[in-house]
Formats: sequence, C-alpha cells, structure tokens
Amino acid sequence: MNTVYPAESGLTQRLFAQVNDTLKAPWTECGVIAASTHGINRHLLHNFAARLNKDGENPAVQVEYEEDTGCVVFLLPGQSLASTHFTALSAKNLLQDADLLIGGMSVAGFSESDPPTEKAMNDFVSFLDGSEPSEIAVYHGQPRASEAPTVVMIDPNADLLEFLNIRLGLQGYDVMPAQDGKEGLRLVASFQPDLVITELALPALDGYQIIHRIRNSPNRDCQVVVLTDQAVEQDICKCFELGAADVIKKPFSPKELEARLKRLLN
Amino acid sequence: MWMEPFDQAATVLYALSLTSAGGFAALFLLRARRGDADERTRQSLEKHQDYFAYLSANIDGAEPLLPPPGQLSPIELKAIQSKLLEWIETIGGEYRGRLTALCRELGLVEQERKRLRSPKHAVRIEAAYRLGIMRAEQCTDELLQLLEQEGGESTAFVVGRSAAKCAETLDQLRRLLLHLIEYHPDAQQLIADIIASSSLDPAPLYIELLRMEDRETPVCVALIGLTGRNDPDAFGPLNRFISSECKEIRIKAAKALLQYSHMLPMERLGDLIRHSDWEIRAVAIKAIGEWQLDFDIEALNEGMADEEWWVRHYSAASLAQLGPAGYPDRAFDLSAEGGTR
Repeated sequence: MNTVYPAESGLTQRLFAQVNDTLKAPWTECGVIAASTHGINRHLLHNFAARLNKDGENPAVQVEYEEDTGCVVFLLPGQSLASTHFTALSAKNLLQDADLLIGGMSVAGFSESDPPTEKAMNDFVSFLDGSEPSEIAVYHGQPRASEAPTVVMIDPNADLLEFLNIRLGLQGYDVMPAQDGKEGLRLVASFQPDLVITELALPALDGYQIIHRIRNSPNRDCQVVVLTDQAVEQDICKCFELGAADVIKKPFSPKELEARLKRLLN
Repeated sequence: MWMEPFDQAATVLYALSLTSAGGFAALFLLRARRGDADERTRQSLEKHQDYFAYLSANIDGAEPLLPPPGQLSPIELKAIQSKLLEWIETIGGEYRGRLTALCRELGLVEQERKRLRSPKHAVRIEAAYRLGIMRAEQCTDELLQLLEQEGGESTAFVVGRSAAKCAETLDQLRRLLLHLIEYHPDAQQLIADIIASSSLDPAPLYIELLRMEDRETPVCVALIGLTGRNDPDAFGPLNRFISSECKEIRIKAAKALLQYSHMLPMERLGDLIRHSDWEIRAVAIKAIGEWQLDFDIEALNEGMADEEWWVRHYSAASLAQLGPAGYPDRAFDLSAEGGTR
C-alpha cells in the first residue's frame, strides 16, 4: 500500500533542507533514496548504514526513518545519480531481506551546479507515491506523466522494448510498448499518441501496414518513426512514401534516436 | 528355438513399443529439462529487473557500469549474459562499448574464452559467436586459430564474423580475409559483409587485394568491398580493372568506380556509356541521373535507342532526374516505345 504524500509535505521540506545543507560543503553531489517501509528501529538503521558502507563506498551515508510518512530515507553525500541508483539495488535487497519494504522506492541525484528546488523535491517525493510496489523509480527532473508526450513503441524484441521504455521514460516520454502490430494499433487508437516507433518485421501486421493505417486513421497527424533491421534502400524509400517521419537502422545509437525524437516532438 | 508367427510378431511389437516408449521418455525428459532451464532463466531475469533498469538508466553516464551487487549463481550470470548480448546486438554507438566493458567486468569474456577450448564443436562455435558480440579483442588470435581449424565448413562464417568484430589490427583482418577467400571462394558477397562488420577500415586491405590482378576471387571481393565507399586511394586501381578480361570484374569495377564520379574525367565517363558490356552502359547512365552529372544530354538520348532494355530504362530515368534540361521529347516516349521488358 502506498502512502499519499501531500504536496509540500514535511518530508519534502526536511529533504530539501538536508540536501541543500549537504551540498554546501564539502560535497558537490548528493544522492537520495526513499522507500515506503514498515517502522524501522534505530539499531537496524545503523546496521543498514554500515552494510551500505561495507566497501567504504558510502562513508557518509545517513539513514533515517520518517515516522509521519512511513518511509526510510538514505542520504548519500558525494554520490552521483548513477551511484545512488546502484546503491539503491543493495538498499532494496536489505529492506526486502528484513521484510520491511511495503511500497515503491525512488532515487534522485542533486549537485552543487543543479541544487534541488522545493518543487523538484516535491516531485521526487511524489514519485515514491506513483511508483509500483518494489519498483525503483528514478527521478531525473522529468515532467509528470500527464504533461509527457506519449509514445507507442512496437517491436517484437521484448529486451529492446524494456531498454527503450526506461531510456525514453527518463527523457520524459510516456511510453506504451507493444510486441505486435495489432496490439500497437490498438494502443494507437486508445491513447492517440504523439509518436509511434515501429519495427517493419512484425507479427500480425507489418510496419508498412501500421504506417498506412495510422495515416488513414483519425490520428493521422501522429509521427511515425521506423526503427528496423531491414532498412535497405527500397525499404527506406517505401517508408517515406507511406508517410514515415524518419527511418533508423538497427543496430542504432540510443543517443541518436533520442535526439531525433526530440526534434520531431518539439 | 522355433516360435509361432504370432509370437514372433508379438516380440517385434513388444520391442518396438519399448523403443518408442524409451524415445518418448527421453524426449519428455529433454523437454522438461529445457523448460526447467527456461523457467530458472526467467526467474533470474525477473530477480535482476532493477539491475537492468539501472543499466538502461545509466548507460549514458560518465561512470562505468557496475556488475550487480552480491554473488551471482551460474544460472543468474547466464540470464544476465543473454540480456546483455541481446542489447549489444541491437544497440550501436558509444553505449555498446560500455556494455562490452561490463561483460568483461562480469567475467563473461574469460568464461567464453575457456569454452573456445571445449572438445565439443557446438560449444566452441557458440563461444566464438558470443565473444564476437562482446567485441573480445583479446581473443582475436584464438578466434583466428579456430577459424583455420574450421577450413571449408559453413561454421567458418560464424567464427569469421566474430573474428572480424574483435579484430584490433589490419594484420588480423588480413589473415581472416585471406583465409575466407581461400576456403570459400564462392562466398564473395558474404566475405565482404563479414569484413564490413569490423570496426577497422578495410579499404587498405582491399587495395592490396586489387594488386592480385591474376586472381579473380580476391579482386572480386575487393571490388564488392569498395563499392559504396569513397576512398581516393582506390580510384587508380579501380580504373585499371575496367579493361579486365573477366566480365564480372569489369562490371564490379565500373560500379565501384562510378562512386567517384567527382574524380572521373568526362571522357572516361563517355567510355563507360559506350562500353561494349551493356551492364556497364546501364550503370554509367544511371549514375549520370543519380549524381546529377553535367554530361552531354545527347549520350542519354542515344541510350534511349540502346538494344538493351535496362540501358533504355536508365537513360529515361536519368533524363527525368536531370529536370527540365533532361526533357527532350524522347523521354516521354518510354511507354510509347513499349517500356516493358
């Protein structure tokens, strides 16, 4: 069960103050992990801090239990977002082993050059409420789901869908994955996305049919980007003739894909 | 011992039933083992879901990607390897390098390197395939040795592609190229494709191959490899092969040479348009339209009357591509002239 954290809650204000204090000196970065848990006693909190610093990686780690909101907060002075995210994997194992985790977790990283604002801290705390049980949500300064551009991604490769779902999610997109053409079209009809990313070789309906049907649907203004293995000259030409906005060949650079999506959606 | 015919039939049926039952039992056992392995892999992937999210989220960060915290069981390591290899195959650019570095850190390269010495052929081939995906540069020489053991087997292409992906030096790539040419002379296109999967620029090797003028296969592989490139060093050697005695070499050389249209004198282009091989006439005329070359329109008009349909087709297409300048009356005659083959 997730606790609902009201905007500008006490937790938000305490975290805002703590992180800003940490960033004054000598640290230039500070990571924060928050998790919805059962009550934790002081002895166990010390134990967690010691175990997270087992290899001397988190010498200044602070662990506190917030009774009023029912969540534990790990403050990691000197840690970047990547390190904090990695530490969160160990923290989650500790909490699960002790049977304490009852909701989601969220991680964030702040730096001297990009200190937290009260709004950012409030968004981070809201993330904890929005995350699925046991999920580690990463706060990257991305907009809330209601403001995010929606993307339907159709590819039979579940590993690729999972990778891009997380990558594009961090870029602020609301991603809906589908593994075949029929499911993809159903998502397009239901959510009317801003953009569709599709493979050409798909079960049920292929990528060409997807482009054709989108172009002849009420959602015809939706941009379609083809991300495919089979991009020979004729395939590329056919995609553009059907109305694709861009064609990217696999193996692809995620950085390039993200830049192209940004250009299309801005 | 005499047996009644009925008893004999019963014995045979009994033996057959036992054999079938044994076969089915073995099949079910294999299937159950496979199902069990798949289930354990699925559970391992689920257990490390957060770790994969960490990799996806931080793949573009400045810090190296770290192996999962805690001890990994062999089945967990195998599951993580399967996911990482899948990602490396799909993702290019700088991120691929970060994932291959993580594979080394996880000990996957060393693990597969040991499997390269397995007595089982299938295990060696699988290990070679995985080492190629992981761009295991330190294993290139071992992969080349394995390739040499493969000789003319079709599995040599799997090992060859892996060696190409891992090659660090042109010497290694040359060894690979010459071996494939020697044992698989008919797979010229595939050899060029395998060499193209290397991160090294193979153009100097192809220029070396072009010097083997008396050997058709190396020259053909070089011409295929150089087609679609734009390397000024290749221009001179390519020019010589237009007059080769081998028709295949002449055509491939013309195709490769026409990539250098900016370096091609107009007289040379004229020679190609009037070449005795219709394939060369066709590609030369096609290049004029594609590259928008400032060439005598009259030559294209003449091409419209060529005896070969493809030459007429590309003449009309090039005239159309040249815009108003290329629209003499004849360009509209394609359909009237029976623009079908």
